[in-house]
Amino acid sequence: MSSEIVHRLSPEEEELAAKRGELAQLEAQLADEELALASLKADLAAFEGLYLRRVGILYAELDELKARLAELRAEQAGTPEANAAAAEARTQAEDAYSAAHGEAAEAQPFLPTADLKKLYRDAAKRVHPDTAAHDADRARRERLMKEVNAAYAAGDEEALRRLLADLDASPDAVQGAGVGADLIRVLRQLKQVRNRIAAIELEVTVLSETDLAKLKAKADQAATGGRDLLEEMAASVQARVIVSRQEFEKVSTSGADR
Amino acid sequence: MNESDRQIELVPSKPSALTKVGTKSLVARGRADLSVREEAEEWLKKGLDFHSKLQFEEGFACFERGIQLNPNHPEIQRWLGNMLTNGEGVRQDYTQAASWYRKAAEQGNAWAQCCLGTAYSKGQGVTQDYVQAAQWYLKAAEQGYSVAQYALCYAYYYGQGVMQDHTQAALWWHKAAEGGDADAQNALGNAYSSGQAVTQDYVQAAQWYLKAAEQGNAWAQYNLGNAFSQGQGVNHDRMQAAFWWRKAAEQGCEQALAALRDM
Repeated sequence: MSSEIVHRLSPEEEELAAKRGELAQLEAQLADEELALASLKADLAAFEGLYLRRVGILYAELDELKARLAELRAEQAGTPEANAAAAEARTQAEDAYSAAHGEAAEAQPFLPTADLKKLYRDAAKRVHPDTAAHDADRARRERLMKEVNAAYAAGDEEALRRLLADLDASPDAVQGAGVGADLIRVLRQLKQVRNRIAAIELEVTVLSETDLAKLKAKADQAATGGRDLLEEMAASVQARVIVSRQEFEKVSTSGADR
Repeated sequence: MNESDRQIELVPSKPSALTKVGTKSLVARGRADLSVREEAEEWLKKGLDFHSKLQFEEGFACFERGIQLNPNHPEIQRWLGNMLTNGEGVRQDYTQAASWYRKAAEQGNAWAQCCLGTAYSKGQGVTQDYVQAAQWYLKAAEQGYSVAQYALCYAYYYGQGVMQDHTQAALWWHKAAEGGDADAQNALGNAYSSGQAVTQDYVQAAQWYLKAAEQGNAWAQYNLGNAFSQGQGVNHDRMQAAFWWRKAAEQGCEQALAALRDM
């Protein structure tokens, strides 16, 4: 009977089944790693916001005082060197101000719920551009993945639920070009997913090496010992602000005496 | 181009807040300042280590390195002041010492406030001024620093820099003794023993002597030896008496040595 032939898988079909299993596993790993990367970025952004609000603004204040002092000295001395120093100090103060009071300083603490993480993982598995079967589908998935990342960073569970529901309503186009074509497609997907996993790992390494990540690690370590590192850092910059202010007042009154 | 700017270029730029040059350089500054302060902390530790081994020159050099890195470190400032006062590893210089004490004291370091009080009290490096002395002692005493509390007790008792006030004197005396100042504890032991300023109470006297003696105060050790020898406030115990007299004698207390000879 012909049904016996149908049940026996050809070597190509076996290969395809094995590769599909491998792909499913890698896709799950990819979703986990995307989640870890997105969480790391959100954690760092939250810490950056905290740092800017507590320490960064004090550096900006310090730079402002230094700029005023340099401008005062330039006024009193009137030399080209003094003028150049004042201009440089002013630029620095402006840069520091816009950095400390910019958008980054508004980042709020990132505390993802288990639900949010699960939704992210599910959505990432569904829309990840590197699991696209066709190039035509890639652009759409890239756009969706951006939405997923943004919703996660914003802690917006509802957006992720809506996105998943929309995907259920419009299933991906059915594939069916024969075993050979399917196998080639799966192999390509495997390669894309592996590349993306490697890229994520590199990005995590690069992010972990940044000043921000190193500082956060130190602050976390200090916190386990009951210390508030940002508070200590703020106090030390604050002390310099006070010294600078005293110096400024001294120079401004000495100028008035003359 | 400075160090932090160069680091920025290594990271691929993306339109995320994490990679904006301005915020990155603020973070890099914080981290650089932090590591400088940590290095200063290391020099403080090294300096303390040398100081405890009486290697004063090495210790002073460490504190100097530390203060170069972190000019606002109150603990290092205070140690510099201390070593300049005592001429440890450096030529004695009361004026410089007082200036270090002041820097640390103004930042709220209780120990330095107390040292500055002493500088004013003795006129070391500053014009002698009991009022200033009492004010600095008070600041340190209010922070619970027992040495300053005992010094303040003296100021109130003799009316130096404050209105004479024996009630205040007694109050700070008790705080100092309870806070662990050995001199205050020994003096309180003397007061209870003689019944001066408080009701005579040998048991209380022996208890205060013991607290101070355990901290290595030689006079308290001698007094505690006497208490055991005479059975005042404690049970008569020749062995205990000999033990505490010997401890005091080891620190050069001649009265204790004489007492041991007479046993």
